[in-house]
Amino acid sequence: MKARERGATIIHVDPRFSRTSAMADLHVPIRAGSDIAFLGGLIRYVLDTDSYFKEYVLNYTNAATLLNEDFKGPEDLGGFFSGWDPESKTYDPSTWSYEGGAIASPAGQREHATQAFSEHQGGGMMEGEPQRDETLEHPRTVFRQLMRHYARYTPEMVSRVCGVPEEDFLKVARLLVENSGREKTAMFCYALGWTQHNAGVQMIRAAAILQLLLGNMGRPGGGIMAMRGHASIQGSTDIPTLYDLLPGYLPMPKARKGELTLRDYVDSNASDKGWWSHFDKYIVSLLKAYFGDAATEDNGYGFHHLPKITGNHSHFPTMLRAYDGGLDGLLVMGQNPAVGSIHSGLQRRALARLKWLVVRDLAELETATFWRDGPEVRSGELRPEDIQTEVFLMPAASHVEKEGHFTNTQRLLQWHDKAIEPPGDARSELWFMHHLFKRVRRHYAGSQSGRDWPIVNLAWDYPEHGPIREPDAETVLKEIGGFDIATGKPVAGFGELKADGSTASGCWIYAGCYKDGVNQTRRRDPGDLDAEGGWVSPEWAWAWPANRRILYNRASADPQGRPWSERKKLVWWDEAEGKWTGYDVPDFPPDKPPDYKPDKDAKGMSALAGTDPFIMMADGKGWLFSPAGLMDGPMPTHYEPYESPMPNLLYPELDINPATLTWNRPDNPHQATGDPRYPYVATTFRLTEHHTAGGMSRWLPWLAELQPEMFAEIDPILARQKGIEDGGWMVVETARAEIEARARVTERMRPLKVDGKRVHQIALPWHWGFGGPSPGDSANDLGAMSGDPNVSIQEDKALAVNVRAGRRSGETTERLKDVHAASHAEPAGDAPSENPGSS
Amino acid sequence: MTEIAIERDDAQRMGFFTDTTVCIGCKACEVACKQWNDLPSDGGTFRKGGSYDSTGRLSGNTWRHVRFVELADAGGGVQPDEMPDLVATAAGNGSTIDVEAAVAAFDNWVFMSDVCKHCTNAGCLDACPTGALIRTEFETVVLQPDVCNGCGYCVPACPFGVVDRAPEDGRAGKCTLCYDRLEDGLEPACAKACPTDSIQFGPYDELVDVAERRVAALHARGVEGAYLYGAADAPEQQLAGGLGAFFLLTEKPERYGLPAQAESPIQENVVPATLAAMGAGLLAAAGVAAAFLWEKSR
Amino acid sequence: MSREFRPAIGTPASPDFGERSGEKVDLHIGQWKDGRWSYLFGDDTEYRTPPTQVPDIEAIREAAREAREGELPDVVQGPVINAPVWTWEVPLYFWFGGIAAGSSFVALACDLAGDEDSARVARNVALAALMPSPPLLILDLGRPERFYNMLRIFKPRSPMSLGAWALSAFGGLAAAAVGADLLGRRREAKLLGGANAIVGGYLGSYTGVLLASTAVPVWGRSRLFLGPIFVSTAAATGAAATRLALVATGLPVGHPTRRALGTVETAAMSAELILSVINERRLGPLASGLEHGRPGKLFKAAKWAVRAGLGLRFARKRGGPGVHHVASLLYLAAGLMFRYAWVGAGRVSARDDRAVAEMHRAETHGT
Ligand SMILES: Nc1nc2c(c(=O)[nH]1)N[C@H]1C(S)=C(S)[C@@H](COP(=O)(O)OP(=O)(O)OC[C@H]3O[C@@H](n4cnc5c(=O)[nH]c(N)nc54)[C@H](O)[C@@H]3O)O[C@H]1N2
Ligand SMILES: Nc1nc2c(c(=O)[nH]1)N[C@H]1C(S)=C(S)[C@@H](COP(=O)(O)OP(=O)(O)OC[C@H]3O[C@@H](n4cnc5c(=O)[nH]c(N)nc54)[C@H](O)[C@@H]3O)O[C@H]1N2
Ligand code: SF4
Ligand code: SF4
Ligand code: SF4
Ligand code: SF4
Ligand code: SF4
Ligand SMILES: [Mo]
Repeated sequence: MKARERGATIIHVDPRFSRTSAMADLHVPIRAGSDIAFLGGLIRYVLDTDSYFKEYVLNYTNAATLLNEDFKGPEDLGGFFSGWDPESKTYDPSTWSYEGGAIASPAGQREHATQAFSEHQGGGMMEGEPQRDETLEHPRTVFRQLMRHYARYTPEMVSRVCGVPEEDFLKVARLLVENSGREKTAMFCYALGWTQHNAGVQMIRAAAILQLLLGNMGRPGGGIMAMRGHASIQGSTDIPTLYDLLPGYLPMPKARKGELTLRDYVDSNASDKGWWSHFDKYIVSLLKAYFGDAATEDNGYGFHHLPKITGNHSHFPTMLRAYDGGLDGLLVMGQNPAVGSIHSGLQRRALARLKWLVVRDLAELETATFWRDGPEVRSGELRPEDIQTEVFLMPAASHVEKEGHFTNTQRLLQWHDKAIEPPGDARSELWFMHHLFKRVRRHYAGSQSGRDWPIVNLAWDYPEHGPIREPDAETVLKEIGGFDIATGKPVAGFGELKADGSTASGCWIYAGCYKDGVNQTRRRDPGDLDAEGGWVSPEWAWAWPANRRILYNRASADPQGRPWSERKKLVWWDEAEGKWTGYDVPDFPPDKPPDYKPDKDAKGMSALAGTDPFIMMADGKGWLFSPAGLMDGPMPTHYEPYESPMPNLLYPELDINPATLTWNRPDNPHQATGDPRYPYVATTFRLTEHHTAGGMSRWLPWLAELQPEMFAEIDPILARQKGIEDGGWMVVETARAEIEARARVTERMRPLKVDGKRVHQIALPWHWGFGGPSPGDSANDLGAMSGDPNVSIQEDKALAVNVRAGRRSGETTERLKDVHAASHAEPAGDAPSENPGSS
Repeated sequence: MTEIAIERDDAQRMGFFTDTTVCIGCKACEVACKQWNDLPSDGGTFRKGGSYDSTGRLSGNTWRHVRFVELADAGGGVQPDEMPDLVATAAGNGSTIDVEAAVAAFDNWVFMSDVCKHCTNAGCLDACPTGALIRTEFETVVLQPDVCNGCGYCVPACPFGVVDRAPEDGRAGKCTLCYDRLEDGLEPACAKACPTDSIQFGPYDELVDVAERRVAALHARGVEGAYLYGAADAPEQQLAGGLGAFFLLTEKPERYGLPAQAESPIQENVVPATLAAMGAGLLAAAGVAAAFLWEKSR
Repeated sequence: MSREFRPAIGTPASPDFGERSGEKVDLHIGQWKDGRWSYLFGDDTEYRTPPTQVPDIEAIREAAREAREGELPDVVQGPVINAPVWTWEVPLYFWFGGIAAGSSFVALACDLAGDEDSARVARNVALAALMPSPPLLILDLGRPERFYNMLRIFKPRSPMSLGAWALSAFGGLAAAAVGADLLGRRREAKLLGGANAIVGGYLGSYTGVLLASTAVPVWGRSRLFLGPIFVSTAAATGAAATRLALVATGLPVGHPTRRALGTVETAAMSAELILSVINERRLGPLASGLEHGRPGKLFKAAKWAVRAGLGLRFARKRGGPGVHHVASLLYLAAGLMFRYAWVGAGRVSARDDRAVAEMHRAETHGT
C-alpha cells in the first residue's frame, strides 16, 4: 500500500479477483498452473524487444558464458532436456554445464537439492575456467540458448495457454519493462500461486531470469519476494525442520557404503572458489555447538555421530510409510496434516496405522481427533475401537506466552518477549524439547555405548527460570549466534568462525546476532526514516547474514562501483577510502575494488572478480541458465499440472514435467491429462480471516464468524449451466474424493478463453476440516500426492475437478473405501512404496 | 447545554478519518474492536451475494463493520435470473451478448470500515431517556452500559443504523471511540489494528486537514470520484452537524449503506411533530367538550 | 444455516469511566502518540499533497455534493438504518395509553357538562387502562430491572423521557383522582381529573411524536400527521371504552353523555381515517411499511374496521343500541390494529433500504 501511495504500479496475476486485485492497478486472470508460459512469454518479450538491461546482463549474469556442446533442450528433444534417463525417470545434469568450467553436481551426495538454497549448493562446485563470448553472438552462449528456448513463448501462445488476452499480456510486459532499468526497479512478489506446483522451483527460476535480464536483482525495490507463510517459516528453513538440511543450509550427510568422515563430507560440499570455500568453518562450529567439549579434532568433532539420510524422508514418503505400517510413532508439533496436507484422506488413514502420535497444539484439532470423528470413521471404514494409535494431545503455549524470535521473509530476526504466562499445562516448544531431552538423557546416564554417544555428550545445559522451569531462550540464541569457546565471547559475524574447534555456532548464517553480548534481534530503532537511505533501518532487529538487508547488493552499483542511478543508490565503491560503503551492509568483500581481476589459480573468495556480485555462486554471476542444482532442467519449461484438463500446447509430446515425483498406487489414483470426467480447473487459496488448517482461527469465534462455512467460488456462467445457486450447496469431485461447499457465485471468478475454449475455474479455500466449532469439508481431500522434483512440495494450486449442484452422496473420501479396505487386508510391510517417476 | 456531557478544559474533539481508498478489507479492525470490548460473536451465517461479509451490519455486538461493495453492473452479487443471456451464449445457443464483456462488467471491489459517526447532532444521544448516552470531553458519544435499560429508542433515532440493542444482553451497544483507551492516551483498538492506516485517529481538526489534502491529492491523481462524507461541508450540507468519524468515499454514499443527507431526527422532528400533536390534542379536547356541551344542550 | 459461536469471553465490557490505569503500565506511551505516527503515510508518499499547496475547499465540497445530490444509485447496499427493536408490548401500551388519555378527556368533558357520575366512571376507565401500561413498557425493556432509570433524568428533548414522566404523572393523577372519588371528595377528584386531561393531552399524542422523531421513513416523514392521528385514536378509543363502560354501568340509551360519546368516537375515528389516507397518499413510496407485509394487512384491516364502524353507526337507527356497541368494539379493535400497524410499519420501512435512501435523497426535508 505504501508502494502504491508512492506511485508504484501494482499488477496482480491471479486466477481469482481477490482483495489484492482490488488494490492493484491491473488484475490479470490466469489459468492456474500456467505461469511458466506467462513468465516465459515475458522473458521472450524482453529479449525480443531488446529491453534487457545490457550492461547488467553482460557483466553480472552468465549470459555470455558458453554452454557445453552436448547440451540439448526441449526444442530439440520434444520437451526433454538432455540427460534424461527413462529408467530412473531422472535427469543426469552433466550435459547442462559450462564449456570448459565443469560444475560438479552434488548428485550422489544428496537425495536432492532442497528449498531456498539449492543453487548455492550447486553453485559451489566449480572447477576450471568457463568460456565467455562478450558479444553474445555465439549460438552456445546462455543468452542465445535462452532466446532459442523461449522463442515459441509468443504473446499469442501465452494467450492460448494461459487464457490471458494478448493485449493484457502485452500491457503487463510493457509495464514491467518501463519500470525497470537504471532509474526504476520492479519487484516480483509471489507465494503459493507459484510454489505449490510440480514446477514450483522452476516458476521461481523463471522470475529470477526475468529479474536478472531486467537488472532488478540486488537493488532496492527489486528482487523476487517470497511471501513466506507462517511466522518464522523462514526460520524453520534456516534452522531447518527439513530432513535433508543441517542449520545454515549445510546438507544433511547421506549414508553411504564405508565410513563417511568429516573430511569426506567437507570435500564433497566445499568448493575451491567462491563462498563455499569456508564450508569447514561452519560445520565444525556447528558440531562444537552440538557436542561441546566432547567434540575434538580427533573424533572429527563427533561428525560421524550425526544421523545420515538414506532416501527421501520428506512428508509424503514418511506418511506413506506410516500408511504401509512402517512407522511406529509421530511427533506432530504445530501442524495439522489431517487437513493441510494434500490427499488428506490418505494422511488420516496413515495416522490411524501408527502406534502412537503426539500432537502439540493450541486446539484439539483434526490431527488429534481423526480416530473419533474423521470422515473415514463416519463412513464406517475405520472404527475407533480398531484404531491402535495412542494419541497424546499436549497443549502448546502460543507465541505471546513464550519468548523467542521470528525470522521473517526478509531474513530479519525479530525478538519477542513473553506477554503472559501460558495457561494450565500449556508449554513452549523449547520447554517441551528441553525437558524431554533431559528425561531421555537420564535413561542413558553412564552409557559407554558408541550408539549412545550423541545423547550422552550433547551439550545441553541451558539455564531454567520461573515456576515452570522454562529454559532461557536468549541463551539458546546466544549459542546459535556463535561464540569463542575459550572466552565465551559472542562472535561479531561468521567471518570469525574457525575450523579449528575454537568457536561454536548453532547456525553460521545467524552468527553475529548476539554480537557484543547484545541480543541484536531485540533492537527496535527504526532510525531516522527521512534521512538519506534511512529506510534501510539497520538498527531495527537483525538480518542474516551480517545484518545485510538486501542480498547481492553489489549489483546495485555498476561495474565501476558507482550506483546505477542516484534514485536507486544502495551501496557503492568509495575510491578515497578504498572500500565498499553505502546505506546497507555491502554483500561483498569490503575492500575488493571493482576492477579486481582474480589470478588463474586464485582460491576461495579471491577467485571472484570485482564485478561478480553473486558471491554465493561459484562464478559470481547471476544464473540465467542453471548449470547445476536443479533436478528438472536448467531452464524453466512449461508443462501442464499433474492433473489438467488441457494438453501441453507448447510441447505436445510431453504433458507433465517428466521429473515430477509421483506415487502411483491404487490409493493415490491419478487422473490422466484431459480426463473428460474432470473438465474444470480448481485452485485453492487462503482467506484473510482464517489461518491455514484452521487451528488458530476456526476455533476462535471472532474469526470463525467472519467466514463461517466452507465455500467454493465459481463464475456465474458455470453456476447457471450446472444449476448451482448462490449460497446453495455444491459438490466438487476428483478421483480421490468429493467435498461439498456453499456456492459463492461471483463475477470475481471469470471463465477464461484457453486455446479457443472456455475454461471455468473454481477456487476453494482450504481452511476447513471436520473438527472444531466451524467444521467443513477439506479441499485437500481432493488432491493427489505428487511432488516437485526439487523440493517435494505438493501440487495443490492446480487440480482438475468436476462440480455439480447439491450435496455429496457419502462421506468425503468414501470413494476410495474399497481400495483402502483391500490394502488393510494385506499390509505392505516395510517394503519401500515410493515409485519416483512419472506416469 | 441540552446534552449530558463531560467537560474538561484541556480536552479537544477527537475523531476518525476513514480513508476507504486504502482499506484492504481485512477486518482486523472489526476483530480488534470485538476483542478490546469483549463483544460476543454474532454467530456465523453464510451470506449470499458473493462478498466476504458475514457480519453484514453494525449491531449491538458489532461496533466496527467492514462493508464489501461489489461493483458489478447490477451490483451486490449475481441473481441467477439476471444472467440468462450469458448462459445461453455460454451454452452456444446463439445469443449475441458478449459474455466476456458482461462478466467483465465486474469492475471493482471496495471496502469500507463503518463505525459510529459520533455526530455533532447525535440522534441517539438526543433520544436516550435515561442519560446512558452522553457526550464526552472528546466530543464523542458514549453509551454507558451500566445506565442503559435497553429501551431501544436510540436504535431508530440513529440515522446511520449504528446503535442497536444486543439481543442476548438487552442493552444497546455501539462504538465508544474507545473512551477507556482515550482516557489513557491510547489510540482506539481498531485504528491501532488497521494495517494500512485506513482508519486514522486524531484530533478532529487535524484529521479534517489531512482529509482535505488527501482528497486534493486523489483528485490530482485522477480519482475524480473521491469525496469526504461528513466533514468539510458547507453548513447547509453538513451531515448531522458534522461527523466526528468521517469518511473518504469514491462511490455514492448509498453504495456503502450511508444516507445522502442526515440529521438528528429528534432535532429535526420533535418540535414540528409536538406542535402538530399538541395542536391536535387541543383540538380534540375542544372537540370532545364541544360534543358534550352540544349533546347536553340538545 | 447459522452457526452458533459462543461469545468469545465474558460479556461486553464497560468503559471504565474516569479511571486511568494506563499510566502505571510499562512502555505506556500516552498522548495518543501511538496513533499519530504513520509509517504508511509519511511525507514520502503521495498521501498528502505538499503542504505548500492549499487544497481547494470548494472543489472538495463540490465532489461531495456531486455524490450526495441527484439520483439514487442503482443499488442501495443496506441496511442503511437499524430496524426498531420494539416488540408486541409497545403497540399494546400505545393502545392502553391512548384509551387512558382519551378517557381522561371524556372525564373532563363529563365534568364540564355536569355529568359527574359519568366523569367518575371515565376516571376509573382512565386508571384501569393505564394500569397495564407500566408493566408493558417494562417488559419491553432490554433490561427490565433497570426501568427506574427512565426517571433518572428529565430530558425535554427526548419524547421518551417526557413520555415516561407524563406516564408517571398521569398514573399518579389518575390514581389520586380515583382515590378522591372513592373518598367522595368530588371537588378534588374533578381538579385532579382536569389536570390529568392536560397530561393526557401529552400522553395521547407523544407516542406519535416519539415515532415521528426517528430516522424511519414512514414515521419520520409522517411527523405532522402522526401526533394528530394518534390523538384521534386516543380520543376515539377512549370514548369507545368509556361508552361501553357507561353502558355496562347502566347509563340509559339516549343519555346525552352516551350520545356525545358516540359522536366523539365517530368523529375522531373519521378524522383518524381521513388523516391516515391523506398521509399514506402523501408518503408515496415511503409508505411501503404501511402497505406491505403484516403491518400492511393490519393497516388495511384497521381501515376497514373503521369504515364498518362508521357504517354500523348509520345502521344503528334500524339495528338498535346493540349495533352501536359493535361499532364501539370495532373502533377499539381498529385502534389496536392501527397501533400494531404503525409500529410494525416502522420495522418494514426501516428495512426498505431504498425507501430510507430515497427519503434522504429527497431535496427538501419536507412535511
Ligand atoms: N490470513 C492468513 N494469512 C496467511 C495464511 C493464512 O492461512 N491466513 N497463511 C500463511 C502461509 S502458511 C502462507 S504459505 C502464505 C501464503 O500466501 P499466499 O500465497 O498469498 O496464499 P494463497 O491464498 O494460498 O495463494 C495465493 C494466490 O494464488 C492464486 N493462485 C492459485 N493458483 C495459481 C496459479 O497457478 N498461478 C497464479 N499466478 N496464482 C495462483 C490463488 O488464487 C491465490 O489468490 O500466507 C500466510 N499468511
Ligand atoms: N490445498 C492447499 N493445501 C495447503 C496449502 C494451500 O495453499 N492449499 N498451503 C500449504 C502451506 S503453505 C502450509 S504452510 C501448510 C500448513 O499446514 P499445517 O502446518 O498442517 O497447518 P497449520 O494449521 O498451519 O498448523 C499449525 C498449527 O500450529 C498450531 N500452533 C500455533 N502456534 C503454536 C505453537 O507455538 N506451538 C505449537 N505446538 N503449535 C502452535 C496452530 O494451532 C495450528 O494448528 O498447508 C499447506 N497445505
Ligand atoms: S446518531 Fe448514530 S452515528 Fe450518530 S452518534 Fe449516535 S449512534 Fe453514532
Ligand atoms: S437503549 Fe439505552 S442507550 Fe438507547 S436510548 Fe435506551 S437507555 Fe439510552
Ligand atoms: S473506537 Fe473502539 S469501540 Fe469504536 S469501533 Fe474502534 S475499537 Fe470499537
Ligand atoms: S479499515 Fe483497516 S483494519 Fe479495517 S478492514 Fe480496512 S484495512 Fe483492514
Ligand atoms: S497477520 Fe497481518 S499484520 Fe500480521 S504479519 Fe500477517 S499480514 Fe501483517
Ligand atoms: Mo505456508
